[in-house]
Amino acid sequence: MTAPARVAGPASRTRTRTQPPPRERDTGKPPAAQPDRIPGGRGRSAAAERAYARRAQRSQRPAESGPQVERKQGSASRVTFVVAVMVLLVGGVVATLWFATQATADAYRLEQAKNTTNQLQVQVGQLQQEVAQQDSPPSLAARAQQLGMVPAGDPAHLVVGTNGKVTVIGTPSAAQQPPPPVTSTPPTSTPPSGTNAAKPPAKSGTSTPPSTPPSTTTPPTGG
Amino acid sequence: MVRPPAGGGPARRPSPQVRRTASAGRAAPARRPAPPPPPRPRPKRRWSVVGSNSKPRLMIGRLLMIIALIGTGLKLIDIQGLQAPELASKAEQQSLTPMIIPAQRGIITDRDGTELAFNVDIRALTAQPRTMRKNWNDPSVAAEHAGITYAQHTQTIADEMHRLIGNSLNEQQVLTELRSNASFVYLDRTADPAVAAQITSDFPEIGSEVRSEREYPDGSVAANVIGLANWRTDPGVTPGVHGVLGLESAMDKQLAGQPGREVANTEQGNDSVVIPNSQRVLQAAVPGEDVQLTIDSDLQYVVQQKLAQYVAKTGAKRGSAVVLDAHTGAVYALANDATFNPNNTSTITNTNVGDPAVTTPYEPGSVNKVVTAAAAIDEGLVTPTSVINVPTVFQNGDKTVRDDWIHPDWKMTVTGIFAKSSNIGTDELAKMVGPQRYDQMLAKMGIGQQTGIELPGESAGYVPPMNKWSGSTFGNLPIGQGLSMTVLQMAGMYQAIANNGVRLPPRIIKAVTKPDGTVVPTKQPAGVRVVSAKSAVTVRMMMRAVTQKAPFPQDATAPSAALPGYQISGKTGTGQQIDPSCGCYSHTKNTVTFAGILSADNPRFVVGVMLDAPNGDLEGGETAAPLFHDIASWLAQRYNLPVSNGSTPYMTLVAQA
Repeated sequence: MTAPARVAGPASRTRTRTQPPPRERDTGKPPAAQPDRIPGGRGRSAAAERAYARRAQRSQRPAESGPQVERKQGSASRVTFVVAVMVLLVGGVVATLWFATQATADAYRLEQAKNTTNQLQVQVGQLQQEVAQQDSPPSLAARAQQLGMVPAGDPAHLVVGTNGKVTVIGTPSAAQQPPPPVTSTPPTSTPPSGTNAAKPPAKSGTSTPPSTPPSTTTPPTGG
Repeated sequence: MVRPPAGGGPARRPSPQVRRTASAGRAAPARRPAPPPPPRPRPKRRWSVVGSNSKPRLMIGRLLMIIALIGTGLKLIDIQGLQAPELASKAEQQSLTPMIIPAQRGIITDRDGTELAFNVDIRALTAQPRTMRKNWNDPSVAAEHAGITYAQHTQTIADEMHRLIGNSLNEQQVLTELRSNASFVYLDRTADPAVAAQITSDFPEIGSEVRSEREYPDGSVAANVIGLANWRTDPGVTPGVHGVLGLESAMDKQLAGQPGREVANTEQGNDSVVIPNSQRVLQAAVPGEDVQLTIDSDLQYVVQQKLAQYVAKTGAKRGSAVVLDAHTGAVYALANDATFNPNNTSTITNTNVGDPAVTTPYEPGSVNKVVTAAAAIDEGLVTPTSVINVPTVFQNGDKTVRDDWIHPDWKMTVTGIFAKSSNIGTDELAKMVGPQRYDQMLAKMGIGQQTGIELPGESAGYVPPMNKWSGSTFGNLPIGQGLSMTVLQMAGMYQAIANNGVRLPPRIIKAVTKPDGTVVPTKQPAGVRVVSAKSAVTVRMMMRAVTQKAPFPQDATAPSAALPGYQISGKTGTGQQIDPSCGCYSHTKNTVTFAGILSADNPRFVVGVMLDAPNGDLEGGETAAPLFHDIASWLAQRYNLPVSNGSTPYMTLVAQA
């Protein structure tokens, strides 16, 4: 249990001791310093190592001033290249992310649009259903009856002969109020049909002349 | 390993401490397998710990790494190679939810394209009361509910549902369901999608299932032909709308189509939340075929109405009527008095769901005399004006045949025999034809065989085979006793006469529209030549006398069938029904029929009507004939039929009374 605490001491020490070499390697990037260091690298102590490194730096500094310009030119093109690549990479990543986000957003929008379409389709279906119901013979018959209409009986026909002479076939007569429908038709409501059945005799001449011609005087249709 | 010798003597106490420090300085994993380090000078030793000991440590580290790598590799091979298919399918099962793509059920239209049956989307509202109650009473969410009990909450739900759905919802039942301890209940199976969306957004614990419902906008119009389809979840069928009655049931395969399959990623534990863009269609749904009937829905409505009126008025047990196209045999209307509203299943009873017009045969009575008329004239045995001696009684085998009215020996024209419906005269003519030819004529008229109409449960009727005829059989058949037919077969006989001798088996399906839009018209069955065209015209013209209105004895049976402006050709029938109590023909119960052609000189429609046991001893001419007149009158107006060329001429029925 106590061991780890003690371990920490030397371990941290070794770490500090091993840290310098990488630092030297960073600073000793120039290839000129490397051959110097490599042969003696292992055997020397850390302090010696640092001293060597400092010496190498010192000796490099004046030398560097000369080829600096050339190197700058070389590194400039490399830097632009690297920057370009980085820009490309970053741009690519950003673009990919952006497109992916857009695609997802579009997917949700599409989903929403689909939902709207579905809703509208349902609405269309319902409206069509309503039209079909209103258009059905039972409801049309009921509505016609509510308006005071009655089914026509046997009509009389006018036949125009080849000589232009018109003959009347059949006897024209007013339509009769039919008995109320027997079969159970859903839209038919009994109260309106009942009131209509009562109305025509009383009001036939006054309020509803177009739908029910007066039953007392038979119109001379044949004339 | 190291410690026992190290801790051996108290004298060497300090040294183990040092050594321990040194060993602790080395990497922990190296401690166990490492041999005791060789004694070295202290300052140097620190360095050599890293240097000289690194080799075994590296070795061990490498070994461990290699072992780990091999282990990982093996596991990788196991997972990726050996177990791969199994795991992949397991993963798919976990993430992919198989779903059924419902196929759109085909619509049913009438001959003009008016929709008679189509599907509408609805929602079934569901709930899981047990889970709901558990979640509601969960102490961790108690604060959110502000002291509202589960009972109060369900009351709120039921009230809101009732407010949105209306009176079609039984609120009390919803409450009972919600407060039950069931794991899953249906609250409403036929909710409007918009209303269902409102409810599920108000109460997320209420679920909504997509369903469709069959809608019949015309209600009971042609209900017995079309039948009924509803949402079915029986084992063996794909959940969806399937037919249970009539054509919906008979043509279910064609109408239903083929449902498709798809898989989709769904939210864990909730199949209804599909992750966008994750659907993959395995098999596309094939929509059902649309069926177009030959029925005219307006005419069908009128025929149903009038038939129901007449059945009510005459006190008949039941009635059937059919309207055929004279030239194609297409069924324009096929009605029964008892019908139901397919939108309201509570209107369905055992007696009103069938289609007796095709399923229930009856003994036709005199309407069957047309067979004798056609045979006698086609064989050239008589002409309409031939005069036959009609005695008061006629001995037929072991039975005495009488006419409906008592008359002395009369000399009647052939026209008169049919117009006045003389049983004796008909039997005399049949005797001239002979049983062989008579039997053949019955077969050609299609009696005793199914017409082959697309409706389910069609009856063939019954004609006794010739080898089973008794002495009186050949006297009974010509007057419509001892054999049976459906109203469709009855109309079919007159269709042959209307269509100049060629009988076309009736069909009720005009065309079927395939999912790709191709329209496949029903194949017209081959016609059956019953009589020559000339004979058919002769019979048709002769049968016009049935509506003749003249003083006795030149009066005919059905002047009430006459339609001003049109020459009607037809025949009444009053078939005595068999009385089960005595096993004889009843004198009070008749099957009253009329079959007629509109119009005789330019046939367009054939109408057959049948009333089962109307009140009293009403005959065909008094009940069925006026019904025929009403239907014919409406038909003439509906289809703008040209009036006949002149009215029916007067015909001599009785040459010498």
